[in-house]
Amino acid sequence: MFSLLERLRIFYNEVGRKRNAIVPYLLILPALILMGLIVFYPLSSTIIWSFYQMSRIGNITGFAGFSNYADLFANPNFLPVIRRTLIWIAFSAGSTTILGVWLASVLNTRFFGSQVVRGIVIIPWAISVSITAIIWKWMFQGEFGFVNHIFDALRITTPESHIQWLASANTSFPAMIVVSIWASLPFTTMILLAGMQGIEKELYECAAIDGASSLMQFQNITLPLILPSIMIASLLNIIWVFNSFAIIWPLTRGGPAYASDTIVSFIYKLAFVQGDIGQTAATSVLAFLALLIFSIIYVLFVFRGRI
Amino acid sequence: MMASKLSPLGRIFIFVSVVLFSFFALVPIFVMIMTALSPNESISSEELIPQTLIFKNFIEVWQQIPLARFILNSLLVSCGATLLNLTFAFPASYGLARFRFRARTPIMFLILVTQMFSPMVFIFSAFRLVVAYGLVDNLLSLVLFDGVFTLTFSIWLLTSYIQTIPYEIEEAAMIDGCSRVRLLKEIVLPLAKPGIITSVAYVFIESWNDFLFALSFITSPEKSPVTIGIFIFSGRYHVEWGLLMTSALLATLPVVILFFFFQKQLVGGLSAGAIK
Repeated sequence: MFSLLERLRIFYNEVGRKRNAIVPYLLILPALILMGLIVFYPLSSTIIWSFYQMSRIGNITGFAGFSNYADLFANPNFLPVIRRTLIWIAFSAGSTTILGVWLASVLNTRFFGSQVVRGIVIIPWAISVSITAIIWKWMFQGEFGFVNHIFDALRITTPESHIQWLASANTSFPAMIVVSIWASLPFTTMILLAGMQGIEKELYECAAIDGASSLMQFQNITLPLILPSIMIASLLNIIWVFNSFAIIWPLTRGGPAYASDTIVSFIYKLAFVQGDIGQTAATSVLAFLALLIFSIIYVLFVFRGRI
Repeated sequence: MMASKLSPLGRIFIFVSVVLFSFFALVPIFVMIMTALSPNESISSEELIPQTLIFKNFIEVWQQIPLARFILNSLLVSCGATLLNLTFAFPASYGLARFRFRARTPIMFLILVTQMFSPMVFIFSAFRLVVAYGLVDNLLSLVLFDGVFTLTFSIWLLTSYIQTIPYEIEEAAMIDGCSRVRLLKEIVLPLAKPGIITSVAYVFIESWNDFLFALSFITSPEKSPVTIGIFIFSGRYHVEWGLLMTSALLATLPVVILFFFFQKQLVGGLSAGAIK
């Protein structure tokens, strides 16, 4: 009996520290190999290609050094795209987080029908992002779209002076931000709500006895205690918003021309429309590095000491 | 914060907020359904809610585009990707949850960091890979990329889940002479079922919703999943809004139903990954 228990301990813990521990590797390796083939192999070829001259269909035609990167910075569209990506992330992720705190604190109170409201506000999450974009494209349609109906009803516009939302960059970019908020608000709210529900109820009771108003309680108890959740929600949103090609492409295709491109739609255009693979790879590498920094911050922040 | 302790001002604030947020969430859904139910001539009119509701679009949409084919394609891709994903994720998660070995921390770190990637950063190389394997316009390419790209998340989720299962149960089974393979199949698998269901729902929904891989690898309508198939109605100069909204509604329904069915586990699983 003793030896059997010992064997078990060895099986699970001790053997693992020795060099010949193959069982965990046998279990994990298949998944890692598959990921290597599907994710890491294309990723590394992208990095390599960024230093080579590439043909339209992705064959190496010569060494390029950093000239792909130089071309990219000489590309008149590139810096505006970077600037727009930063604005896009700041406005979308920023407003989603602020609205998320608002909505989560409302949902955190008990009121008649609160479960129903929770079910309603979560609906956008269940709809795929590309379909969300199609619905909003119709909402923002210039002649008969719902948003223009509302503007007419509020007497801001008339049918003759309708705003062509998606036709010019000044209006299509804010429209894209609205869509992005719509799509990412439920998830953000749920993370923040989970954070709020983890706060001890006694804190509020004590504060109420001491005569603190709801607003003071929110400022001095809720807000400081959900700060970690806010950090996580913001980081996840930044990454999510960065990635949201499925919003931009159906809505405007980054257009007109490059006017509403962010870096993801810019990469897609470089690759599949213009066929400039060298610049595609260079842009991808820069985007990859930016994402890498954010995800390392996220992982270190969230999983500190737990992996 | 109980409602009874809220000041009248607080109650008004809650009420106004609830109305605003519900309106924001529901209006696009309402518009989609209304447009799908409207006759074409009232879509291009000034009225918000059409006088007559019709189901014509719901019949016509099946004849105009191979919507059934699109849904079948989406279904095949999602099921295939889920199966592929779980086949590889389950043993890997078990290995990561139950063993301590040198490469464990680096692997966990790699998995977590990869979870944040945008597939856009390698899309062209991925496309080249798909071309090299002769998988262009083949659903298998989507199964592979959707299934593997979601692998990091499901491994992470399942690893955390298996860690919550008391290890003594396995110990007892081992003492009774249970082999390692049987242990996995007959003891760990049933116990990990809730975690597996969450992963299945996640991978299924993600694959169903995939847009980028489908847009890049699929070239013909016969092989299109719904997310790109319904764009047939969205031409460069003319958009058939009624039929587009009808197909959007029909394409959304299966995944919405799935979502609300698994809502609790999904929200729990997704936010647990972020918070706990």
